[in-house]
Amino acid sequence: MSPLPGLLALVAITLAWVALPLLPAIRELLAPTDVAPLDMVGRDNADIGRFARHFREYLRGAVPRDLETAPIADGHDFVEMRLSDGTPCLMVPAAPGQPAIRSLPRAADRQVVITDRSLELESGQVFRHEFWCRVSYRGAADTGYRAVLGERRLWLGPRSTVYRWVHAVDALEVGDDTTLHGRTSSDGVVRLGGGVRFERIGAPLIVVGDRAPVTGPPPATPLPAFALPPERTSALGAVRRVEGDLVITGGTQLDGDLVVAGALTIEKGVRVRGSIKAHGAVLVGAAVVVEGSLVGRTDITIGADAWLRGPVIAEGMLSLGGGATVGDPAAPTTVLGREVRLTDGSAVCGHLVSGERGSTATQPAHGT
Amino acid sequence: MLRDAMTAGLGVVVAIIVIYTIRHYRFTLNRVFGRHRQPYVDIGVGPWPEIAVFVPCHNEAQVIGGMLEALLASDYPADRFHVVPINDRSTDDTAAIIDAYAARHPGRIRPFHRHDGTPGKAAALKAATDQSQAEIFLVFDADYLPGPSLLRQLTAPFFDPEVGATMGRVVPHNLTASLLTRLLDLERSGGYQVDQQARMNLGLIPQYGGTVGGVRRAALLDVGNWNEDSLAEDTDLTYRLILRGWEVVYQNRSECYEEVPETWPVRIRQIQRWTRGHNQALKQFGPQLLRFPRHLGPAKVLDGLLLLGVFAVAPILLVGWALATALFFMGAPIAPGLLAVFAVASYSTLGNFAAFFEVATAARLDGSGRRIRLLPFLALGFLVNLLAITRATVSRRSWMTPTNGGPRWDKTERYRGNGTNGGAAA
Repeated sequence: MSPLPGLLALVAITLAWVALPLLPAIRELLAPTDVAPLDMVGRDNADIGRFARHFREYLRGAVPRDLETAPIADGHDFVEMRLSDGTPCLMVPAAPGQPAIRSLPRAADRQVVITDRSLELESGQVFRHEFWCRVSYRGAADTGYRAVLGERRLWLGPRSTVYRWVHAVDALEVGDDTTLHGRTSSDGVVRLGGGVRFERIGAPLIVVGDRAPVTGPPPATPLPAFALPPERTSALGAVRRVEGDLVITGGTQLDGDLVVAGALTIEKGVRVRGSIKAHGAVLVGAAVVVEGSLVGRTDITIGADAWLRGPVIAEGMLSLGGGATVGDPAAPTTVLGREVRLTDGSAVCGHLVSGERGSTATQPAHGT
Repeated sequence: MLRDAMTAGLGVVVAIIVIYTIRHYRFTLNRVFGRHRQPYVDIGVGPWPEIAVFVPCHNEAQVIGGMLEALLASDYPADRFHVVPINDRSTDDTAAIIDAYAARHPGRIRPFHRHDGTPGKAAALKAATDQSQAEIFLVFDADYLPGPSLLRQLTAPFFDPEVGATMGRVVPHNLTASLLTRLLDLERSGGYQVDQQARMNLGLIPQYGGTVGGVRRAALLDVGNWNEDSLAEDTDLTYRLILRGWEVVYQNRSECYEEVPETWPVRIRQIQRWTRGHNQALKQFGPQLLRFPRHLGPAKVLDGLLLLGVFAVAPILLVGWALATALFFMGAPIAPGLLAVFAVASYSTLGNFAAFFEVATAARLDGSGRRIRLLPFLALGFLVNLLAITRATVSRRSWMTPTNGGPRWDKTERYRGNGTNGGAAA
């Protein structure tokens, strides 16, 4: 018996075995299913108000114009309709001289709510679709929102939860123990109560509790110059680098940019005219002024009444003391930390971003 | 005697390959399980510095218009940035196109035409640097398509006073052109999503890649400006910055579309150019790293050496295969364990820009799982790389420089407007 058929069969089986893992590859090559360029170019998480703007643009195109202007039937406070893409919507038209609406239909929790009339709703509701308030809105306690766009002033009641984003054109006041997932923004002031948890906040002024207006950096006063230890200091261009830990003595002034290889302590009343980075923990004392950025590879603790131009970047935990300010309304900046803790009376002008967890101190704030 | 020497040589090759395999596994595991470190990319507002965007051009009429349009659409504060198209002796319509844009956007587009001096990208950048007072220089090749927020993202790390250079992620957009473009897409994913980002996460040495990146003017001047003699000005600058004590930052979320080579000859020329530049850097900076500069620490030194040696792996691997084959036919006893380790490690190292499992991990992290079906074809690309790199390494041109008769403007062919999908994606 000839061995040839067996040999050919063996070769064929071997080739088939080798080709087996290539089958998906050949299929993908001949009939591509995943050939579009990666769709991530241009995405920008730093644009905190983007979702709110896109939602407003979407609604302006999706709300039927005739329904916007149609007269409402006597005895009815609402119009139930569908947006141009079929999304269910509840519209609460303006009613000049009429009291605020105290309850919405049961179906409202599954509809996009658009209101031109004041609402004073009972607590404990959850809205699974977006909320567009074209008048000022004061939310009840324990209310859940998918997203809220307020064209005027917006109050979120205590213990509320926002799951995706909230934006107020005017001031946004956030009640105690509220949780703000995703993006929070305002074109005016964001005032946070105590025990608030947040991820990203963007506003010309973000304050915790009551706080005097932020006016910018304190005026410079003559201070004695701080001398860096020459035996541990080297130059990196115009930047000076100090090996090991460093303590900048209180009441002195340091000019220029500085990198510290270890931990850094800046004592009370120091003025730094430049940017600072430390590879170890950073402790900024009370009433310190930093006229540049502050970067920490680990934790940064900023004391009471300190002022920093920013940005402030902590790869670990960032704590902002009472009365401390980062940025000023004329020159907004960014505060970043893996974990961010804000104390009552602290303020940030610009963006406030927590990588994993952001919170305000738990003591009750005022006015919320 | 000869057999002993060959066996010892094979042992050394296996050791090197195993080290690279461990390196690739370490990076991959870091990307799967480690903390993603990208501390600056979320800086949305701040006192932005004045920046100049350099676009070196040599016969880029096909693409320069698209590039300038993309830059003009940037959301970086308009009064804080300007674009400097550096036209280096173009003989096509590049100069006219640039001048037309400059006339329409006075102050924002500031052309810099070169007619003499040393040719080449590094020399062009150096000449432009000498004429600019901007604090930060961002650099893009002319065929790239930056998104609106990219200038801001690439500038943000410079708020850290220790950062000397930044690097973003390069994403191919002409994928439908050929099998090669799809393979390069996979390779780029592994190289950036896993390799570069892992080095950033681990505090090692991310590489400034010469485009979609930036450099601080003060740092650049501190290390002696662009090196006209370098065949790879990006690798050269990375190592001079690191050795001096500056940091290089990689940001995976700062993505920018690019055109990748659509034909194998173009790809081979590109990789041979990179090989020559990288090997030049290995020769220059390897000995300096081996002095173990105190500020770097052993982990950075090792990473720096391994990064420099990436293009040396291909010829080393070929030498190993030759030694193993020769020893087999000479009847030399080779420990089976050694051969097994060599086989597995070779497989894990052959993709010297991104090993197979790095590519698979990158595709998973990118959320584009189906393109990974093409993974087996990567072996073809890697074999081509192996031969092309080896040939470039042993060629005499490897040791030439722009100022002593070596290559000058040796750039990759452009495709946009040629009827490929590059034009469509643009």
